Amino acid sequence: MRLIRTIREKLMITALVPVMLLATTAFFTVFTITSAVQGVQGLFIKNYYMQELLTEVNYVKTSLSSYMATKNSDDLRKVIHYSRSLSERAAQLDKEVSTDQESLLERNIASLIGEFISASNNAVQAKRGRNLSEYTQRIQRVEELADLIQERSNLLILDRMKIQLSAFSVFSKNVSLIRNLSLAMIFVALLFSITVIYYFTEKVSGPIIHLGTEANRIASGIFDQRELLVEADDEIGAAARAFNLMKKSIQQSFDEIRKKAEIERALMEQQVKNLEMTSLLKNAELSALQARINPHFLFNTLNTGIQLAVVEDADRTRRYLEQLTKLMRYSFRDLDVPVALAEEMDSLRSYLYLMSIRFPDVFDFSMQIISPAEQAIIPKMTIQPLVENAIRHGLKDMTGGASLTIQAYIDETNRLWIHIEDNGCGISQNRIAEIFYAADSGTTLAQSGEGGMGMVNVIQRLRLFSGQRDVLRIEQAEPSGTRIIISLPYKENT
Amino acid sequence: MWGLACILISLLLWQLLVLRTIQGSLSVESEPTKTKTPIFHIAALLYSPERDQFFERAYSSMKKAALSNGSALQLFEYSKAQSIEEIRKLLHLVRDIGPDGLILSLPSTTPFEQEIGEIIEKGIPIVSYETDPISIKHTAHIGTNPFELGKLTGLAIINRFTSPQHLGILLSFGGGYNTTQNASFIQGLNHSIREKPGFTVSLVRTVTDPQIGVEKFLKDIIKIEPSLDIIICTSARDTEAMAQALVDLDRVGKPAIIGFGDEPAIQSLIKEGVINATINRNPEIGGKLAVESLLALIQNIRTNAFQDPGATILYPEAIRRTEK
Repeated sequence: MRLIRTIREKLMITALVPVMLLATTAFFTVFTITSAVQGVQGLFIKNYYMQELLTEVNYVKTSLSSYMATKNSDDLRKVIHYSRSLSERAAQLDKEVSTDQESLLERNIASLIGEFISASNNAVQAKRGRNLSEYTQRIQRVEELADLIQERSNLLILDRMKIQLSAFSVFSKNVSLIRNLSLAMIFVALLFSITVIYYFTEKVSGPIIHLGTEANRIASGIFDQRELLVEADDEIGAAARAFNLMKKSIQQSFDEIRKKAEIERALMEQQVKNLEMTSLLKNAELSALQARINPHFLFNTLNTGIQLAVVEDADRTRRYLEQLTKLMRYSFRDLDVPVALAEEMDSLRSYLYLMSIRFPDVFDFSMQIISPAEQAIIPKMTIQPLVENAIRHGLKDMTGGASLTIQAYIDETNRLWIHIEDNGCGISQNRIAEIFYAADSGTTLAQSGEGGMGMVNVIQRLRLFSGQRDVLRIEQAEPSGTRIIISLPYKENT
Repeated sequence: MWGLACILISLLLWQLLVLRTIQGSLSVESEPTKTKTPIFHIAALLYSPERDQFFERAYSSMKKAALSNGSALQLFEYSKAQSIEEIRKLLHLVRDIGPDGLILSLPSTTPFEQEIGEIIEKGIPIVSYETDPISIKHTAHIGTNPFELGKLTGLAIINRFTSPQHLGILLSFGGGYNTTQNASFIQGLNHSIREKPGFTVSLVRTVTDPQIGVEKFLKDIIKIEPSLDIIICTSARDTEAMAQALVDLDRVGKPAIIGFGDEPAIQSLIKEGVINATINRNPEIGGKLAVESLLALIQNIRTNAFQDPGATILYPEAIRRTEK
């Protein structure tokens, strides 16, 4: 678990840690030096105190000697005054037992002062009693005790001096070390601060720069799988994580769009391939038909038949063969070349003539081409398959009264309209739907025997020719039959 | 960064340590204060422990015993250079400062009977340590009997030497002052060798000047009494000094040394064969017994008036055995 999470915390630590370190050191240094100074002062105070004490012992001793010699009241007052003062001072000394040798010396001095004051009082009493031998002994005892106090005090002062000297020695030895250490600490703290600041600013600015670079890459359309790596739990870390999520989301959307586009392209390619395949098949079928019969041989043969009919005066036969030859010539011409509606209608007339010979008195054909519709160009062999389809499937079971009407005109919007209508059995809505589905998807019809394949082919070709989708409509005619309406942009044959 | 932080912390700790050292060197109260712990104040008047290893060990043991019994031990020391008057002055000081008890180890108690009496009179109990016993109320005696020490020395000589030997003795009991202890030692020695007709004491000297030590007697031992087979030294300092002198003169074994002490330097000389054996009093037990007896006297608890810490003989074999 990281303790430092936010940029604010990082900045605070950057600023506070070095300052706190230095402040701690400075505080302890000041505290220790103050303590040291207080300690030294304390030692001086103690030694001063002992010197005062010795001075008072000396005062008592000299005043007492003077009193012994002169019996002067002033000297006695001094003895009493200094003895009292000494007694008060001795009360401040350590009389308790301690393992500390200094305390024991203080205790020694306190005891000796007690003996000293007592001996001086005894000497005064002996003097007052004029007991010469006794007060001489007492004064000797006072002097001996004063010497002992002096000796013990000197020992104590000496001990303390030793401590002072030792302390001073330690202090002076370490002062330069402390100075050097302090300088070193300041230097290292400075380096540390710079490093900490650099580290944390790098931690803050680095990911931002990284984030910016990544954003620019995405703006340039460069997506890669790797995530933006920012090892931080702070705000920048959160931003980086959000950025990664955003990047992932954008990438997913892009991928989906790309996949869709690829699918659509594949579909288009498939459709084109299907169309090409269909075209190839048609061409193949045609080529196969063409290959079966040599057209020249067929036409020469038919011409021979026509000449034979002329020679034998068989006019109907001659005409029949002529119409057949005409129809075949038209059929064998290149399918890719568009033709004028008049040509297509001329060929359709030949076809209908042949059909009327084949099924006499069954069909009633009418054809109305309103000028200038005859000049319009249409794909070759588009009308005939529709008519053939109507005859084969719509009128096939009729024995008479079957009619087929073809009408063509140009409307005010300059579109060519061709209506082909029969009165046959009609066509179901399902079949119409199947035909248009086959035309849309480029597939073949399920039951081609029911007709419609030619119609599918016509629809596809008309769409390719016009570049428009809505080129053919199939309707139920009233009261019965089928109506096919072709609508094409009008293009005049030049 | 972490390296710098470590350096910084190390410097800080170093500085704190230095500052702590300075603080420690000044650990003195600024004003006189009173200790609250109720403990006894024991004074010990001993021969300077800095000058004699036996007394150094004894004093160290006394300090430990005093501390463990909640008492403070204050040392008053004398040296052989100090006059009787100066020692007397020390006794006066002890009397006037009024400790709770006194451990006393003087060369001889005879010259100081008055001062000892004054101290006793003041109600300060006394334990005499390795000196003449004081037969007054509120006193006890801790010390190795010099007669027994003499007997042990004789026993060591008999154990190490079979043929008749001429013996020389350098006496230093009680800092050379105490003729009673020295006489007792010689009596004990004679007692041990009384049935060995060939063993005779040819030379007896008393060491009174510690600065010169045995040097003063080397001429006597080596030139005047060249027939001396064994020299007996009655202090560790004299034993070591004599051994070093023989090593320097290339006369190791001539004469052989029977000495006192078991300090590392003496043990080393014993191992090397320079010293044949040493007699060892027990300053640790003696020091401890002295403090315990004195505390018993201070608290009016019954205690033995005479106690002997005992002594042992140290042979080279024992040192080698210990090392193994």
